[in-house]
Amino acid sequence: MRPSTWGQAHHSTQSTPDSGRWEDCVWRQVLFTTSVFVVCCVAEAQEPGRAPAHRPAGEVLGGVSCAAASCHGGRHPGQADPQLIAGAEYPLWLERDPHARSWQTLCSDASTAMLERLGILRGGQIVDRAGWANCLACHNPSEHLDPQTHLPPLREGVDCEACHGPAKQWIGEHFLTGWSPQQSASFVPLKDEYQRARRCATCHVGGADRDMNHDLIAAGHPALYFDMAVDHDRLPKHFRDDRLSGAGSSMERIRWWWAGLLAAADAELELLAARARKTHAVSVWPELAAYRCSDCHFALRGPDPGRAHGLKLASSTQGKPAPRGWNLAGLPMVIQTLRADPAMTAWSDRLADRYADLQHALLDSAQQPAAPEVALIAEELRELLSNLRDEGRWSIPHEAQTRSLVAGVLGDPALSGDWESASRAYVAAWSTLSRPMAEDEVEAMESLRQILQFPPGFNSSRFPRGLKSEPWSTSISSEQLREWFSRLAAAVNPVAPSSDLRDTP
Amino acid sequence: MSRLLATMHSGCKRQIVGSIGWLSIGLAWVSSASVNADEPLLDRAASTIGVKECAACHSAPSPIYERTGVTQFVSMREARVWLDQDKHAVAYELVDPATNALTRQIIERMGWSIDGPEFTQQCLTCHAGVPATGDSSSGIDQVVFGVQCEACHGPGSLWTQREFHQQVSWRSWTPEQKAELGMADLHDPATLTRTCASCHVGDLKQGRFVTHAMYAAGHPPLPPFEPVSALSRLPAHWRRLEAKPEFEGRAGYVQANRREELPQYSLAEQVAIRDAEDQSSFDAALAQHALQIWIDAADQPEQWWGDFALYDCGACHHELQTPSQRQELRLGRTPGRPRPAGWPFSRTVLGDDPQVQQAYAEFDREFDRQPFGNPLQFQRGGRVAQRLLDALDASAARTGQAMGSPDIIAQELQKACELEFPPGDFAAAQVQGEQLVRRLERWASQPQVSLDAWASARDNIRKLQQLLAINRQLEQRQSVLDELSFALSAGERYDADAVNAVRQQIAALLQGQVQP
Repeated sequence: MRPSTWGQAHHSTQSTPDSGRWEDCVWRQVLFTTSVFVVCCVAEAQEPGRAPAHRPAGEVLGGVSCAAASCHGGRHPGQADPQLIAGAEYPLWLERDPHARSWQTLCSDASTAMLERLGILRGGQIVDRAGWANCLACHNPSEHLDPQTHLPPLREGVDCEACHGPAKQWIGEHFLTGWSPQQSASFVPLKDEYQRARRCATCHVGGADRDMNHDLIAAGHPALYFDMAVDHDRLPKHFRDDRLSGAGSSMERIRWWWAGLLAAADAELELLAARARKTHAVSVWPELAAYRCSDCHFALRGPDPGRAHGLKLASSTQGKPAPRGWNLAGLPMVIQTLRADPAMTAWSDRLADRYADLQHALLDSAQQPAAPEVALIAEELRELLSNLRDEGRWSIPHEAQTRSLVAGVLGDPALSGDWESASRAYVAAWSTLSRPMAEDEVEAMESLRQILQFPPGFNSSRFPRGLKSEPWSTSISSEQLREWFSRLAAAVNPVAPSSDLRDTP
Repeated sequence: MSRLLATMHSGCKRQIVGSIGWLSIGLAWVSSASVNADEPLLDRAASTIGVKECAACHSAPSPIYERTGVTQFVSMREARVWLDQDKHAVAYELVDPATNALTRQIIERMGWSIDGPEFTQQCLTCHAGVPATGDSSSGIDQVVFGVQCEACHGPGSLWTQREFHQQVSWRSWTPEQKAELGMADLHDPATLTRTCASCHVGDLKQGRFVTHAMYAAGHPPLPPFEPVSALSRLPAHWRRLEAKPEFEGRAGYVQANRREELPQYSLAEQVAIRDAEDQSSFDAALAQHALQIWIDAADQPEQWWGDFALYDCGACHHELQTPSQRQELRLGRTPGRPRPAGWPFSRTVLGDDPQVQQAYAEFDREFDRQPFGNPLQFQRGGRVAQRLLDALDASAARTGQAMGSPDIIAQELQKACELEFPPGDFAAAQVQGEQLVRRLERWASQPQVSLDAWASARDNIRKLQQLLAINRQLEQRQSVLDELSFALSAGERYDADAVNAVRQQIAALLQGQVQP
């Protein structure tokens, strides 16, 4: 943790923290910043040789250690004082949060079948340690295994320390007056949007030490579609965010959405670089999970005029799947935001170039993507993003800018072309629309949700190739789809015409 | 290329076709290739002379052929049959960019242009038999004729010289001697298979390969190819040796072609016996050919390795459902890895050669280790490719031993009936089904088979054809796209149990226990 990055002020209206206590600085920052989104970059993540901060080293004690009645195992939420902001975290997590059941999920029949398909489990025995460790990295992150059974000693799922960091070093002192998070490298602060989103992304996107790759998806694991705004909204909270900047305002969802975009991009680039460096224990290059699922996974049907065998492909891809854009969708948005500021041209150009290079390397280098090239570009992009954050050169755009940006995305005519970008646009609209939504906005959102959701029994969308022919979307045409999106674009940004903002790289 | 464009015009084609009939009447026994008689024969490589030269004689049996007994040996109507009935004759015309919107779409999506070299080098290699060198002087002015005589029979410039092939003595030349003059030995199952498979499966060295980009641009998926069935669907412009009436030089011809006659059997039986004997040679040749594509791709990995068209379409092109039969069938294998198409190998692997089975298992497993496989293992001399190549060579050398008895027909059918149809691999099931149909037809054509059994065989053939979308005869000018929808939807509905039930009925039929 580098306190200086917290304390830096990058806006003329921002008061420079001058008080002695770092914690105070943090809270001042969080409380008073309304137009600047300063993202903390965790120092360890950039220094080679040290463990990434999102998985700090340290001894794990287990969730029960936190659950003393006088600590985080306090009064049941039903009886809790409405003003209480701490005290019942453990029972809240245990009773409501699906993270508390992720070990059970791993033990389910469906997961056992996957483990067998993957050759991790055979005859009731774990036979592939690396593959098993990869599952546990997310489903039960307490690290140490019984050498006989290969089972973790604590089977608590994603427990307190999985997010907050191994507690041995700080459990005895973190409640003391004067204690600050930087006193322990193994304590993970989660008090701002980027930090928290980045923490979520370690599992919900992946990283250098865990990869929910194509083998796992083929074995039956659902593909990951992380979105911080939606996921955070749905997470049963054991914490209160009242003191976060933008809490309760129209910017609240937007801020989570932006933070999620950046965090997902960073995690995806870390993952991509590790895959391409071939340092990943479970992934073998080329990694098919780096591509858009629906570009390959559709059944070949009879010829369909205007499409090649039912598939509408951009002619530039020539039968190759497009790189999966879900987790990197923040990059074009960052680039576009930077472009609005003439002082940032060098940054935006550099980012745009490298982003284009990455797409090119994944798509177009001979028959198979060249691993060293992909790794280099991913690492450089990651460093660029990190420097931007580090130097405070990138901030969340103000509300009007965000709205016009999202309206541009929603007005993009390419949207009706593929499920992934249409779904991303849906999420962007969800995060940006003012609440309560107007009746016609609700109608558009609900209609879109119905055609974007996977049909029952499927792990993939029939959108858009089923637009006209599949029973669950007989009435949908791409014109109708565009109509809904432009209705939402107008609602998101009633002022500016969306067409001005379409030059996404 | 402007010359090509000019000849592409269909009006021009009609003119050429019209002239064939006229030429053929007067030009009997006249070698029409203009060659300097003093020129040593083999100084230069054989080159193509063009369909006009062949058709000048081979399109109508003029009285002089009948008088001299030529038509006893060859019908002299070959070019006519080909031109009027064979889809190969319209292989270009049906995809002519001037008239076919799909061709224009493919060209556009590939980023080519209609008069650019790619269309010639990547499309016309199959659709008009143009050589991979892109040597436009070689027969290119006749692309309108599609896949013409010399595309299969070999370049004709040498054997048409000095009236070689017009002489009765030509009939007793050995296939090797004829090959020296450029004529392909299409009696040989291996050569025939290679010739057909060169386009119908692919051939990287010949520039005959539908890349995945071309499929994505709109090229219809190539169906799995079973040489014997495909040949049986082809309008025959040839006669089997057994079907030829007595002709001059027959003994020499039979000896040169090492084809023992079986006069004690009926014509149909003789043909069926020979077909049954040859089947395993066809199978082995198909597997060898498919393996050769992998080896060629691995030899130039930058250009070819990882082209999705090398792999099984169904490995990626499926809906995502969990749990699914696809996942259960692959238990014990790395999930999520593209596989090679199994159908070209399925017949040899299902044979009884453990060496082939083991080498193929190793070949197949190699695709578990890394997505798309490691080209080093498949290169010429690479461990995996070499082992399979050796095993197939050894197996091919053992096959094709003539029994000369109709017993082999029932034997082969019996064997075919014992093989389970594979769940989850429609293409392999199609190949297997085509062979089962063929064998059933051979068996049913024998005189001792009762009318009832014959009717039951017909029923089962029809069921197999329906379940597997096989053996459907297309009219000459009918588009393969008509067939495609049918085959693709049959593939989606494919149920191995249903096909295996039919197989068991056939097995019962064979034992004289027909199920009602």
